[in-house]
Amino acid sequence: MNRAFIDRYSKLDSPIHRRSPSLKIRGVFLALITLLFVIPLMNPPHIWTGLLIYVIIMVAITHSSRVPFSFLLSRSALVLPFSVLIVIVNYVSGNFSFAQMVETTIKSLLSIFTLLLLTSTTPFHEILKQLSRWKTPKLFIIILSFMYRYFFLLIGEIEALERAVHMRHSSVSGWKRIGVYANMIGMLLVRSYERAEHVYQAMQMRGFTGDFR
Amino acid sequence: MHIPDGFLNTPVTLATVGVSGLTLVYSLKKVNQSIRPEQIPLLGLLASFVFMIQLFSFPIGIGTSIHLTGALLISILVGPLAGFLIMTISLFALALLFQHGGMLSLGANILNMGVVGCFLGYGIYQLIPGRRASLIIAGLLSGLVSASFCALELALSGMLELSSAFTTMLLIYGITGTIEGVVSMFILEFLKKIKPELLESTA
Repeated sequence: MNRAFIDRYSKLDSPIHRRSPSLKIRGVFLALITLLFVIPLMNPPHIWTGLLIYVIIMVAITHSSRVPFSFLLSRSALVLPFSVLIVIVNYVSGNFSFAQMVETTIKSLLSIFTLLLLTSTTPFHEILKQLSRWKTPKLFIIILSFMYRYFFLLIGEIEALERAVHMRHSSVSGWKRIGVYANMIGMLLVRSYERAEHVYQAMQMRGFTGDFR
Repeated sequence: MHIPDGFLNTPVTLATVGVSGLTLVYSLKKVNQSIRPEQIPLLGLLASFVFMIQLFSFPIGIGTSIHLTGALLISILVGPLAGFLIMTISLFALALLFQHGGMLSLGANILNMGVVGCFLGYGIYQLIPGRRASLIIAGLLSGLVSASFCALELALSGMLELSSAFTTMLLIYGITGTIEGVVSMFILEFLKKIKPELLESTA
């Protein structure tokens, strides 16, 4: 996994990237609520007009943000296995009409697209800063930012452990594998726990007294 | 299963956000009172850990894949309240950074995996004597309840006919839950051998 894959395009420079995070976060929530709860209240022919207008707005924003469409579309498509399964089950059992099936799939794709647009135009730490300006409890923010930092360390540990497991246990199969993987996860926990201790010691050295509240 | 956006209607969204939000406020308050500063990096680490294991899903058939939630394990490691906080934070980050589950369906996902996994799972684990058996039963039952919640939320939103898919979902989640219990058991035994102090850090 590559290090910058999460918010790969969030550091581009464009009119959208320069907008304040507060505006973008509020905009995304407003957009999602409109898409998922307001548009479905319309009469059937208007739903399609509503969705079309939504798509046009998204395309316009994406275009001026310079984030590649191919990236946004391929990441949005990750929701398809779930959506397709649900709509097909409903279509086969007669619960959904064909139009409802298309509508539901489009809505789930568009909502992911909207969220992706936020993370692709706003670095994660900016989102965190904005959340703490909105008086999100400090404990929540501090765990979230630790989580984000540890994530990259954990990926490195997992790669090293996987290599070790592969070399030592490549012939183990079936149920015994669960044991091997459990040990691997356990080892991951132990190693990173030690790391957390070191981090805390370093924080203490720099004067952290536990006052994050 | 992380429910994406677009599958829950307004009443279900509001109700699940309400329940999860209240639980979150309560556990933030409780954990804030009892936490020791040296535990903060550990909670962040466990959040990252949960984030990681939820990303690794094994496909089990057409369009469906299962993954462990880690709720049971972290609740045993740091207590159900801190465990719930960790689950909430990971689910939020998964939705935001990996589009794994949606933003507006976050309430439902926190309810299905966090509330059920941490509080119910931990409760059953405490109730039943015998470490191994209690872990497996806790995993199985919280898996089944999670699946029922998930199916119910989708059904109330008109996205699922309970009769058609319910048994399949229960079966899949029963198996996943049992695996969760077994894996948690192996991990706890491993930690007991290698790093027993990790098991005494209840927040």
